[in-house]
Amino acid sequence: MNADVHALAGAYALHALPPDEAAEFQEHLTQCTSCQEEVAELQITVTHLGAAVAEEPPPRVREAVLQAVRHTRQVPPVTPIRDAEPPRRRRRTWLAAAAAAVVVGVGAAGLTAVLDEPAKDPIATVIDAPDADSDVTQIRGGGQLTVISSEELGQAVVLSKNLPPTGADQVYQLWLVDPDGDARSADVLIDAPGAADVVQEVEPGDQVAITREPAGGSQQPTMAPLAITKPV
Amino acid sequence: MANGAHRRLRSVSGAAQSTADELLQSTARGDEAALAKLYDLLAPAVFGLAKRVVRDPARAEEITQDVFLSVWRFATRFDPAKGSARTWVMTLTHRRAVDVVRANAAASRREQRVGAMHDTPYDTVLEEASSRLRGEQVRECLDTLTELQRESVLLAYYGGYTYPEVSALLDVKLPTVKTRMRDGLIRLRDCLGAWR
Repeated sequence: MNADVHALAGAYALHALPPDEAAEFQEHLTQCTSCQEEVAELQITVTHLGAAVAEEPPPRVREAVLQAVRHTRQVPPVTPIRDAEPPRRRRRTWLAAAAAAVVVGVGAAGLTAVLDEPAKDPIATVIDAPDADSDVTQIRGGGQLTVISSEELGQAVVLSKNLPPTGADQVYQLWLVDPDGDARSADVLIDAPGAADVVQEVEPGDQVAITREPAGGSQQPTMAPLAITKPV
Repeated sequence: MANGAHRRLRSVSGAAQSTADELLQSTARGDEAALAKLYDLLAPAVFGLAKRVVRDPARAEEITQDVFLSVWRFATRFDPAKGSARTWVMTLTHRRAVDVVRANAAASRREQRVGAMHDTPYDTVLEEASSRLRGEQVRECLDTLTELQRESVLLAYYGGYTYPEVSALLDVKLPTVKTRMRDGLIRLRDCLGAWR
């Protein structure tokens, strides 16, 4: 990629990037092995800056930690994903559901904020989740989707870029597709060439899909997905 | 002499790192005693860094608790192939500390903060940062950076500022700050030695 993006490795390791640029760089990282190595090395480097200001915390902190640990369940480890169904079949089921316009389980899920720290930037929260995982998918007709998801948070950041213009009467709409192929609106409409949005209530195994819909969005997708990501 | 210092640093951090890695892996299997040992090993660095960034001991204690509870919860997701336990914990700590600093920063407040920084000269921040550095090698290596590299790195790391904020503070163009941060860290990395 271009040198400009590479130059962000330092600021990234220092957590000095604003959320949108951090997301962009994160996306770049998924495709750039040399950047991953550089970031890993620079993270070791800044760790030494941290260790250089070490200071003993009061004993009560240790007690509080150990007490909390006794009452806190650990998140399960990641297990290899079973490739249960080929995506094709999934897509067909999904389309059948779309054609029949069956409104099953599509409520106005709404964007309920379930963040621990409401003041924090919601995009950064997902990107920085310890279990955040990202994946890039090319969009039919141009553009790409990057999904950074956290199973623990049940949220995903969807970055879209280079989307072809839709015209004023249409928007792009994001969907969550469950393993049965049922699509539900992710409550995200995109009317720009690119955007970064947080999608809530993401279940393990959901795929993110994007379609073009009439302005205002649809209850159910009205076309085959322009892109459908791997299950999160 | 410099070589000797680097060798020492390498072996010390190497030993501590493998211990931290092992403790974290035991922690992942639900070993509370391992977490307690990991705490004893890393808590001073975690607390010190948090306090340095947020400048509020009470908040720093909260962050320390928060970090180790996250370490407990997410130990199962730690991947030694992606880095050491120590780096993982310190990266988490810095992120949390920076978030706390930025949480009260709705755009306007952030601007005020940058404005206020101009009132208390930022070189006080830098001076304080440098004078408190315990690690002899880290301090020596920071001296190998250009002034602009050092200021950019320290304001971002200890000050918790974004690079646009650093750019405003130092009155330097955005791309310049980005480059200096990277160049500065690379120089620091090379000076500290190519340990992993």
